[in-house]
Amino acid sequence: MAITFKRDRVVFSGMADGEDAEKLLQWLQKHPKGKIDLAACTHLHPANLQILMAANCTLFAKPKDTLFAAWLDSALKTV
Amino acid sequence: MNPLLEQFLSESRDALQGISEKLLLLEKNPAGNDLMVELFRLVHTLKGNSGLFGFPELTRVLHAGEDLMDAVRQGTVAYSQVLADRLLDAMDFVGILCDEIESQGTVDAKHTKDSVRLADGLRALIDTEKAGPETADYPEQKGVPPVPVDEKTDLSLPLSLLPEQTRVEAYRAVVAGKALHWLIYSPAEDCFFQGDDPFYQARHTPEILWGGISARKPWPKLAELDPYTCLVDFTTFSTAPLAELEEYFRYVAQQVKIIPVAWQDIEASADDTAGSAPAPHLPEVTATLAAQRAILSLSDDVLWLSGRIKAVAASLSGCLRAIGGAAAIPGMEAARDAALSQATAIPLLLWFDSQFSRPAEAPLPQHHLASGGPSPAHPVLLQSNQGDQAAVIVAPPGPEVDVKFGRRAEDAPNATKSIKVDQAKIDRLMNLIGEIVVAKNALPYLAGRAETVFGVRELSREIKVQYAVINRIAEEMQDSIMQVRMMPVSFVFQRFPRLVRDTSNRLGKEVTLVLEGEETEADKNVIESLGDPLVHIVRNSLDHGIETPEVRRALGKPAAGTIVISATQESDRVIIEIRDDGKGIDPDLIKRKAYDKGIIDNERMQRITDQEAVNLVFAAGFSTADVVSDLSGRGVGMDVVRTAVEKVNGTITLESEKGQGTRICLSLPLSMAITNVMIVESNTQLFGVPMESVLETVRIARADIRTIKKSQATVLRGRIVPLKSLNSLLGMNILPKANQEDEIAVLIVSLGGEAVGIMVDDFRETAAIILKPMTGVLTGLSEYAGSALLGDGSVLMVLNIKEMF
Amino acid sequence: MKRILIVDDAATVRMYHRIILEGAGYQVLEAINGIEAMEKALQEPFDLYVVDINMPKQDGYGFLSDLRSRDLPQTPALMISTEAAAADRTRAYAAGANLYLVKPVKPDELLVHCRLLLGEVHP
Repeated sequence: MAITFKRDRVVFSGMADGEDAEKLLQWLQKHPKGKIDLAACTHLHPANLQILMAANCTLFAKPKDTLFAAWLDSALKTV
Repeated sequence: MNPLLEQFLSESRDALQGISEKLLLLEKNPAGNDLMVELFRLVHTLKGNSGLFGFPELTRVLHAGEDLMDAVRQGTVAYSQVLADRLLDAMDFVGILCDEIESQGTVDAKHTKDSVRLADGLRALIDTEKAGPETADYPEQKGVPPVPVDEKTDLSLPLSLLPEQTRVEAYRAVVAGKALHWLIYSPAEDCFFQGDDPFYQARHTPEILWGGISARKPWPKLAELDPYTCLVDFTTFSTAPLAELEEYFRYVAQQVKIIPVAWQDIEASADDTAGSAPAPHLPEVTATLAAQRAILSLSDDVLWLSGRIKAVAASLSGCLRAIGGAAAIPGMEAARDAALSQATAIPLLLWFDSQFSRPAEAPLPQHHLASGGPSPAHPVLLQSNQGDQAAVIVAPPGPEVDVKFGRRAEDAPNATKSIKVDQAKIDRLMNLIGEIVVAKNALPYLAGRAETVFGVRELSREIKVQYAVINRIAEEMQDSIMQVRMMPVSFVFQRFPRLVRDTSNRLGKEVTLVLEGEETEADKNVIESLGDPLVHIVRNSLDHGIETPEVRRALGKPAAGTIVISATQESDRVIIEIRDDGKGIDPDLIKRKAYDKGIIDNERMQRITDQEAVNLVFAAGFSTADVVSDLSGRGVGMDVVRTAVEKVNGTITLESEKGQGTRICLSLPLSMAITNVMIVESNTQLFGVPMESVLETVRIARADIRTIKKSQATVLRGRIVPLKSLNSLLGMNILPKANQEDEIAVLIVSLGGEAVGIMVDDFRETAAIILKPMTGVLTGLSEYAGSALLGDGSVLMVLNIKEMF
Repeated sequence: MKRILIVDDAATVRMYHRIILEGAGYQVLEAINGIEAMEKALQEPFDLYVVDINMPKQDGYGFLSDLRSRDLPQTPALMISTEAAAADRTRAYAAGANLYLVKPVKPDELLVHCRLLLGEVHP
């Protein structure tokens, strides 16, 4: 349940492990403008991370964990 | 457990004990200002200490307690019974948490609720109006200057990626003497299949200040992306030592590059305008400079003005050197000298303001111009004329407050210089000294042999002289180690105020507790063995002795009963007396009960004195309680107390007058380590008899020994003394030997207050011995108290007289 | 080696400060109240004093004003208290403190302040 795919957005929560990376990749191919919600996310497996980077995603919501958010600042844009 | 935490726990326990003592004293004397101040100090110390560790449950309660005691100390909240109760509850809670920290190292989260409840309870007692401007935070704390963020990024200079906040932290770390390291972690492409999560690992780099993620090469189209090939690099910036970083990344060492970074590199990356780049806005620098200005702005009217000016100059000098402004030091020192010669801080203040210039509208602190006037009301923003990097917010000195200096601190108990030593070390030392004491006793034997066996009288005398010297030193050593082990009885007494208070409240009785002679000292083991018997006796007093206020009034007694616990020293014994003015013990009731329980026979019941009767409460299996109360009942009677006291060679006696009260007297040895014994000979064997049992030694003509119904007795100074032979007591069917005058040696011993004679073959000397209890299977031989080594190396069995009859 | 005197009645606090400062290479001595602190300062003055306020026998204010009145090298003094109120700070400054920190003081914070007051130049 770490990654939930909704109609127009992907919601990450807790530790998002690498299991769903393929699914994430497919979803982003289908929804290039899909929203990425990391508010409740505490960690991203690098497989997920690099998919978001490669897709040049813009974060719709940054993680609440500010230290984690600071890491992502160096790699991903935020709305 | 780490030693800091250990120290914290031990200090906390002392403080908790102090707090409950002070609270109880305050209960008797609610106006005791010194007590409140001391109480505040204890809570305050405890809270301060707890803040060093991450135990929010602990700190929360203590903080509330501190605030409350502060209000009490200031007189804004009155001392009350409720207050004492809540504070005691809170301290009990703190004690529980300390225990938990000791056993588990942490505080269970389940305590959070209780901690909030207790803290709220304490705070509810504080007058809410009290929170006025006095308690407001100092403005300087909030007024950290805003740090402009350098948005400039230059990929060729990775250090410039660092946000300004990270620079400040890095600078702080450098000033604190730490190293800076830049790490680049390029995980293997297939690392995900090894189960690695390089991002997770990078995020947990020790002492990480900043971290970044970058793509190793331009990203392919999404359709061509293999998400399970690692294509990202992680960069971190850390203040951890190199060794720690290497250790952390040891499994992926080849994939990590660790580059030491000098502060200058970071400085350079941030500042294009070359030259002496000033340090960043380290809040500590700002605060230190601001403090010096605030000090200089104070009234010059103190005796130690020159000392103050010199100290400010020293602080400024340190600060200037640390931030690379050493060039300004000579100017500052000139201003300092001017200030000293003019006996005013103004020259140095002027120098400060010229160095860190102030906006024009900020006036000089007025009291320098018109003494006693108010100071500027707003913080003053100062900016350096060496570039805008050293912006300083200076807080104004507060309104002139009534400051009393050199206040003699709150009277505290004398803090004597002491060290804490593990008891095991003391015990070892004591055992060794005990061995010396015994070993030295071999010298007289040796001297004797030198003379009688080898016929060297000269040598014999020299040995005796040396023996005297060693003997003196050994006795002094023994005495010193005894002193080390001495503890005041207050160690045991201190628990009673609380016990009496809580118990009497529960029973609905009013009791005044008086403690006397708390400073009386005795050996640690004796003191410790005293605790349980005393608790039992006091509970008995509370439970059965002291009447309810109504009953007492009806009897014409004061409503509040009194329990006195006193300690005194009588030669080598400590006498502890517990007396109450309660209903006393009815000897007739005791006699009947003892008879019912089969403790005494009808004949004895008829002739027993009242005094003897009341002492029957110490007999095994006796309990006076009509109802088994939850306090002292439970079928455990005074016999347990007697056994505990006798275990440490103590005696216990009880006197009681019906309707007037009860007095229980414990007599204990000052020290348990050395036992004085009388050595007797029987059937060619030597035995020791503890001196405290021996009343006297007599020789009785065989003709004066009468046999009455198989038992023997004699008349000594008009009293009949029953006689037993030691041989028969030890199961040997051998008659005692008489001397040439046909007299039998009789040791008169005290047995439960009565004199009994033990017939032996002969008396020998008395000796100080180290009594070793029986061990192993021999512990079952209750006739013996233990054994000891004699000077000639032989073993002396020491008799336990009470168990022999 | 620079010498620092820690004046505090709480053994835990003294130990805490000692661990931090000795770890940074300072020579650390301790005193449990103002009287003892002054005895030690008279024997050999210190480069820095880290002083608690509330202590039995003689408190931190008393110690500092005494120190500042003496013919001794006037080196910086850092006062540590649990009170954040302005009046307490002013009183500390008036008595002779050069800096006032509010407990609990983090290790880095203490170290940076000490190094600043001692003029330890950064690498």
